[in-house]
Amino acid sequence: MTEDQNELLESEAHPLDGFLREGRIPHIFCPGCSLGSITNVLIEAINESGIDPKKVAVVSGIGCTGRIAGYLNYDSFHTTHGRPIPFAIGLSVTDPERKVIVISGDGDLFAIGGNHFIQAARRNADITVVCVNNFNYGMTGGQAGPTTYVGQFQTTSPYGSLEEPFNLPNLAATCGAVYVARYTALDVRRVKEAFSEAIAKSGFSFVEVLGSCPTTYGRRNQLAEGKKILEFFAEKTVLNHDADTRDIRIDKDSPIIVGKFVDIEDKPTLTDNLLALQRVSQAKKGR
Amino acid sequence: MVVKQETKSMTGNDAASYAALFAKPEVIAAYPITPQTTIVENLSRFVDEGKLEAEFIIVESEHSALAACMGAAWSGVRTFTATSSQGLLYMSENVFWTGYGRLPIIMPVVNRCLAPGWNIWPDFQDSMAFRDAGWIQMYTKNNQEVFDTTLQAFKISESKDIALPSMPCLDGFVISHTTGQVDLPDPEDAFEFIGPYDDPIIELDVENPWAYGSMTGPDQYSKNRRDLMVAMERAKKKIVDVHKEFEERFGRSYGNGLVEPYGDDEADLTLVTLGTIGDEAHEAIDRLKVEGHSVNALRVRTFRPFPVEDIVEFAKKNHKLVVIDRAASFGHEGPLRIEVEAVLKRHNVDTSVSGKIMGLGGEDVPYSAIIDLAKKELKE
Repeated sequence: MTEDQNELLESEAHPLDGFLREGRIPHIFCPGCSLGSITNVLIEAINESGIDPKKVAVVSGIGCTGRIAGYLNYDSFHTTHGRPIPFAIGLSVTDPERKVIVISGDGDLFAIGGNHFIQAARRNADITVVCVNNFNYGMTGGQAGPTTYVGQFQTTSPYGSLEEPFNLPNLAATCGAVYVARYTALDVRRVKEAFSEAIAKSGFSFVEVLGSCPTTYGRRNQLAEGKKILEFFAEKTVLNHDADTRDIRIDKDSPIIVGKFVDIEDKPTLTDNLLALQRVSQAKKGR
Repeated sequence: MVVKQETKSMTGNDAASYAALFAKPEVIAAYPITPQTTIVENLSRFVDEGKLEAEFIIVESEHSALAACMGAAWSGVRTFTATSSQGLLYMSENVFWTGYGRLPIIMPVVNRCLAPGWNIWPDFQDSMAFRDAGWIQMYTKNNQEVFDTTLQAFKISESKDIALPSMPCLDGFVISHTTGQVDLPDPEDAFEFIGPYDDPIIELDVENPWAYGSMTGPDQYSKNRRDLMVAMERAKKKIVDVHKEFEERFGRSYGNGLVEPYGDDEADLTLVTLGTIGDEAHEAIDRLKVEGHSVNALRVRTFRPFPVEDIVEFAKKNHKLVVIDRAASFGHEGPLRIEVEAVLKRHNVDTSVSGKIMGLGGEDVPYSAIIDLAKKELKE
């Protein structure tokens, strides 16, 4: 350990002081929830990207993950349920220099707000979308949602869920995302790398982070501590960047495939197309 | 004769779900939102336990929850859902469709204020935004009234001459999550009161197929809306009749079902209220009386249809009304005050009216605050 690090350990300052809104702390996250570490690496990734913090906007919808935007000391928006992506598109097209990051949960982004995700990916909106997937609606008490896997127990699936969940990386890839990655909250180093790459990307980048939710997911699935969920991830995770996204659905017994599945260059973004449209329209009118 | 009832302690949301259980809806479609969630959670448990034979449809948003109920109501079955706040707003397209389409869906709204900023505490801004959506709106003052009103709503809404959806309103947390005393009848007695929905207003029939929601020209459209206005007028009498029948069977009443007066017929000052503030006003009035002040109250229980005649009659006997609103019509006043003033003006009643907006976003409205308001108004 270097002397600098030693000093840091002894000081009352936190390395990310200034990036959190102190007035909003303490946060609402339960003990064992991974949203704290995910917030931490998101800030680090933004920090290390070298982007002027004044050019960063973070947008969330509703739910536990939806609270993250409010804790961050950037321009941050805690928007309506399911709508962070259209809000983010508005922020993005009004200033192409602005880096817009959506961070929200699986319920918000893929149940009530599902349509926005597929349209934004199709149009290659110039935003980064981070989905923290906890496999259920955490904030409202643990109902089954669109990522609840077959056999998973939730308040509305007391006999185990019967429905097929979304395979989020595959959904993003088939809809046209230029960057798609999935990691678990245990692997914060790779999560941070993925955040950094996604932020640096032009176009629609998507990172799925499998989060630990001991309170409303874990308790009903023999994983009642944050640590147990992370151990479950450690046991089940297989890193395979070359995996076909069609084959990486999450279920009770198969390995969880993680990795960077899509990384495409040079695809026109929604903003590029809007600007091109403006040029065409002006040329036609002889302006 | 009043039927046997058992006194239980339960939250306001429990009371709403028991009323729904006893009414035996065949379809419930639901989506969670604080502070409503436990109503439909209870119902899903009742279905699971075999106490309620209903299709319980889990959907991906409130918009879909009401849409699924609309489909079910069209097919001619008793239908129930519940929501709050932003969830109600997200449903709004279908809320108007349901009202204007005359579908008798029962949907308790657990009142919660609207964003931004995010806040889960009560005010009436959410349901007040749907004043003009063609729904019957009744505001309740305690857990018992939530049960009673929700049960009555089925009988009122499903009458063929009414055919309007109902929105029983209950203050979030103050009623929804607070445990109180509720006298529950036997499920059979409750069901017998409203009866089965076996002669539906609308029913799918392959022998007589109908097209719903087609393009409608101005002539027919305006006729439809006029029919709705007339149905709302009829609903006033229906609410009174059903309320009276309920009283005979279960022994409880809330004024005449439209408005509930409290205190002397005539007083120096009248508090006009909605919801739990109406209950809190009783305490204020009793304490003011001990101090020698003459104050009474009129709680508007039914807001849509608006009880014009009852308000006029009460105002005529009194001298000064102060209307307490728990919502604001920005750019004007509280919505209840606006309507009370308009009604008195139209009927040439010269009782003076003032108003105060209280309790927004869960701001506490204790009886002491009502006493302060009353004393100030009495001085002026």
